Formats: sequence, structure tokens, C-alpha cells
Amino acid sequence: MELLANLTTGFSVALTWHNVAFCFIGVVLGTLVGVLPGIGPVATIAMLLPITFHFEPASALIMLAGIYYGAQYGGSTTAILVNLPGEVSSVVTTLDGYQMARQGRAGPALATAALGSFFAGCVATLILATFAPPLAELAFKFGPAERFSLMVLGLITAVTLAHGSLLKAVAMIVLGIVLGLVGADPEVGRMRFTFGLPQLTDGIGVAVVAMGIFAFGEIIANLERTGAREVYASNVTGVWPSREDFRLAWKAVLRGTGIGSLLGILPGGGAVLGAFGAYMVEKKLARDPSRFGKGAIEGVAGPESANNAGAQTSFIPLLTLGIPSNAVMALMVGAMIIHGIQPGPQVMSERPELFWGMIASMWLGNLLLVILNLPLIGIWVKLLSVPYRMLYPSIMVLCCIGIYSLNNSVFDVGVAVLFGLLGYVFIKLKCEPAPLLLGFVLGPMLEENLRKAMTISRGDPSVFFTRPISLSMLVVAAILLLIMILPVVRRRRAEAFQEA
Amino acid sequence: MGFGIRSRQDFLAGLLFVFFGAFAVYLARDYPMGSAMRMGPGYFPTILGGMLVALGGAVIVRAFVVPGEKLGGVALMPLLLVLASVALFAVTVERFGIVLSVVLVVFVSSLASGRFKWLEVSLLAVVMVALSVGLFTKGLGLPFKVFPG
Repeated sequence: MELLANLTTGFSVALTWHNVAFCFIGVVLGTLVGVLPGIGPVATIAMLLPITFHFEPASALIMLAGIYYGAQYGGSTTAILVNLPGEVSSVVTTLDGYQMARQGRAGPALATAALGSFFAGCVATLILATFAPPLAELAFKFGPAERFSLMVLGLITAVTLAHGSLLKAVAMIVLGIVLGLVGADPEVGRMRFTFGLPQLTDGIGVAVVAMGIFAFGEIIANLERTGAREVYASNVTGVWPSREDFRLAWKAVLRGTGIGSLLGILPGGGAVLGAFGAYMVEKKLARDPSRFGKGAIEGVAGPESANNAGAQTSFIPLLTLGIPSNAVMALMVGAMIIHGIQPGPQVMSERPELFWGMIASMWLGNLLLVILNLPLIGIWVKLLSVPYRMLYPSIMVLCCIGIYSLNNSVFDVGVAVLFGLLGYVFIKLKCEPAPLLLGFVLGPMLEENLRKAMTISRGDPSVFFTRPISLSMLVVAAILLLIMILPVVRRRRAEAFQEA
Repeated sequence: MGFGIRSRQDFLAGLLFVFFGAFAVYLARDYPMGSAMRMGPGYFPTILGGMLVALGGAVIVRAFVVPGEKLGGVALMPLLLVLASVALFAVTVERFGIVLSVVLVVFVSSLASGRFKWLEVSLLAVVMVALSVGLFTKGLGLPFKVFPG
């Protein structure tokens, strides 16, 4: 009963009153940014990263994790009531959730989303606790070649998630990797791409890039669009789903949890992939697929369970292999490094209280979220009426303070201005920035492992193809790329994002 | 069917990638390349820069084949005001303290919304100043100077 002992360790950390408080702050903030369109978990976590330096490491990670999965709950509220996904992972929820709201069934839709998410969160926490130790064991056997191939696979998977053109997504990743190389070369200390500026010796901070692009760039782009929002908030009466709703939804919740957990573990996965996958499966399995898009409850239950499960299981590659699988996890790497923790399989053995404390806090966080989202839904709905013109200046102040206090550096704030400009250009040119951030964080790790692997193999690149684990990961990556290029899949993928 | 740019978005994005890639290769020309076995600081950046040029080139080619959406105008005022407010923060925070720089960020960035109301923005500024001083400077101990001087 090692699992039980581990979870006991975890709960003894997570249930100390100040960690409960941090967990609570995290999920409240997560719900908040989930509800509010125009700010997401990436910008929020980046904003709070510098502040967490003053906390204990376990408390910091518990809070930041809470923001991510909390946003999955909040995102569904906006999707259902306003037809505007608060988060990308709630995009598919708009299809049937908003239709349910228009039919006066906003309450059951919200309740299904929250309860489905809670169930999925509990299962995903158990999966995380069960599979992380053996995976970490496996990870100790990984050499540089395996790590390099795994990161390549992760980046390719991330491409499949990007909206629009594959070619541009790949280019964004490569650009991200190049930006990640700014600073002193890790082996010989030669300055690269620093333009002689000593402030760039340690590279550009991931939080600076994230806030520049995901906060400032987004804000500029948002100010350009002006759309009327129609809130079906007055219709939130009778939250409890009917017996018929339960009958239809429970299988979808189970399937969504399974799909989300699985796709979340994949490098490059996360909440988004799971939600899309679950919606497609529900539509395929339904006796009458034409109900979908017109308020089918399975179309809410499946994806909402999946995105929450995926948000949590996407911590697995980070905690066991030390490899972030999406932009949020990339920031978690930043958070761990601020506290002097190198993400990887050794975290579990060297810092068990941190590892298990974080996992146990997820279960607690999910419980808090159900309470926050069901009885208190009215408060969140009110928040939707806060006009954007009040919201974005506040975000900007918090970002400025956050960026400056990372290193007490005015220079960093200036760099963020440049990335704000770049972020706006990317949005205008339909280049999705999330892959760039992932490439940015993985860049230095990719180079390090490539160099090591090539040194060990005496300059023979076949090392990546002769070692079985490395080969199989590269083969999967190649298959993924090929599938994406197939005309049929391309069309279907375009449709899936179109519907979104 | 004439020959011409059918997606200005892709065309410009491609140019951007080519520019960044070529720039990376150009800067990396001074870094020692090393060999495949002992890669120097120039090896990986040069490969990546080359890849970026190639990918950008492919995006440009596609811009002539696959039609894209309309590019739409550039929101020049929001762009300038939002970025200027951040830059102002950078310039003022160390010299004049957090109160003044937060007020500047709120007022300048609020101008970008096109619906600037003095009372509303002033209230927002007061709240944000209270938050920055009370929570961040006093509460969390971030090393900000509060007032000028």
C-alpha cells in the first residue's frame, strides 16, 4: 500500500492550513481568469510567478497548479452563458452548452460541467498518483538520445493542436527554440544573440515572454475587436440536472475522463486536445448525432470532463520526465527553477513532500471548485458584466509589477514591450503563439541533450534511430506529422477548428 | 486566375520567419561551429536558422497558392498606447516610485479603449495604487520605492 502511504504524506502537506489557503487562492484565481475572456492561465501564472518566490516551494506550486485546473471550471461558465470560450479548452463546450442555455437549461449545463469536471479531477488525481512513480523509474533509464526524441515528439504533438496552418506552427516552434538560446552557451559560455547586452547573459525570462505575448499582445488585439456579448445569465434557475440528464451524461463523463486523462499524459497534450477528442467521440457514438450542436448534454459532459482530466494528467510528463507538455507547464518549469528545483524524475524521491503535496492538493482543489462553481455561480456571472475597459488596465498594472519584480529589472520590462509588439504581429498574421512558448522553454534542453547524445555516439546521428525507445518516439512523431498532412485529416481538422 | 499574393497574412508571416532565420544564421556566423561530435555554440543555432528560413520560404510560396483571410487594418492607437504605458512604467518606476508609475499605466492604457471616462479611470487608478502599495510593496515586500524622492 505504497500509494496510500504516499497519499498520506501528500495530504499531510496539502491539509496544513496555509497550503489549503494557497490552494483556495489558486482555484479562485483560476476560476476568475477562466470566466473572464481575454485573460488565460498562461498570462496569470506568468504574472504571479515572481510573487511566488516569497512563498515556500510547495505552497507556490499548489497555488499555480490550482490556477490551471481552476481555469478549466471557470472556462465552461463563460462558454455556456456567453457563447464565448473563457479558455481554448472550453471551445467545444460552446457548441452544445450555449444551446442548452438558450433553451433555458443553463443550470443543468453548468452543473453537468462542474460535476463531470469534479469526477474527472478525482480520477485524474488517482491516475497521477498511480502512474507517476513507475514512469519516473523509467525516466531514470532515459539517456540524452531518448530525452531529445521525447521532446521532439512533444513539440510535434503541440503542432497538431495549433489552430490553422501546420507550417506556421512548426515555424513558430523553431523561432521559439532560437529565442530560447539567447544568452551564454551552457557548455563554453560563449554569448549568443545577446547584442553585447549583459542583461541577456542568463537569457530572456519565460515569464517575460509569456506576459509580453499573452498579456500585452492579446490586449492590443482584443481592443481591436469590439463584439457585443449576450449573457443568458438571467436564465440560471434550477441548477440540478434531471434524471434524464444524468442518464445521458454519466457515460459521457466516464468516456471524457478516460480520453482526457490519456491525451493529457501525451507530451504536447493537455486540456485542449482532450476536450476536442471527447466531443468527436461523443458525436460518433451518439444514436442520433444530429442532436449535437442543438443542446445535447453529452456534448457538455464529455469535453468538460476531458479538459479537467487532461489539465491534471499533463503534469505527469513534467513531474516524471521534467519535460513540459504545453505552455502552462513551461511556466511551471520556470516556477520550479525559481525555487531551485530542477524538474525531473528525481523530484519525487528528493522532494516527496513537494510532489505528493501537490497531487493531494489537486483533489482538495477540485472539491473547492465544485463548491465555488455550483452554489456561487451567481457571483461569477456578475463578473462577466465587468467591462473590458476596466479589466485590461488592471491586468497591465499587475503584469508591469510582475515583470519588474522578477529581477528588479527595468530592462525586462522593456523586453516585454518588444514581445508585446511581436505578440500582436503574430495574432494579426494568424500565427498561434503557444507553440513558440513551448519551443522557447524546451530549446536549451533540446540543445543540451542533442550535444550530449552526439558526443556519446562520437558524432553518429544514427544513435537516435538505433536505441529502441528513442526510435519509437521518433516514429510516432513522424506518423503524427504524416497523418496531419493527409488531405482527409487536414480537412477534418479544419472543420473541427471551424466549428470551434 | 492571375498570379499574385493570395494570402497577405501568410506572405508577411513567411517574410517574418525568413528574416528571423537569416538574422540568426548571420549572428551565429561568428560562433564556433565545432563538429557533429563536439558541437560548438554555433552548430545548433545555424541549423535552426536554416530551418526557419526554409519554413518561412515555404509559407511564402503557399501565400501564392492558398487564399487567406483579409488582413484587416492595424489598430495603431491601441498598439501605441498599450506599449507606451508599459514603457512609461519602465522609465518611471525606479526614479519616481510605484504610485506615479501605476497611475501612468492606468491612464495611458485606458486611453486605448476609446471610451475614456475620467471618473471611472481615476477610481481604477486609486484601486490599483492601493493594491500595489498595500499588497505588493507592504504585504509581499516587493522592493518598490513608493513615492518620488
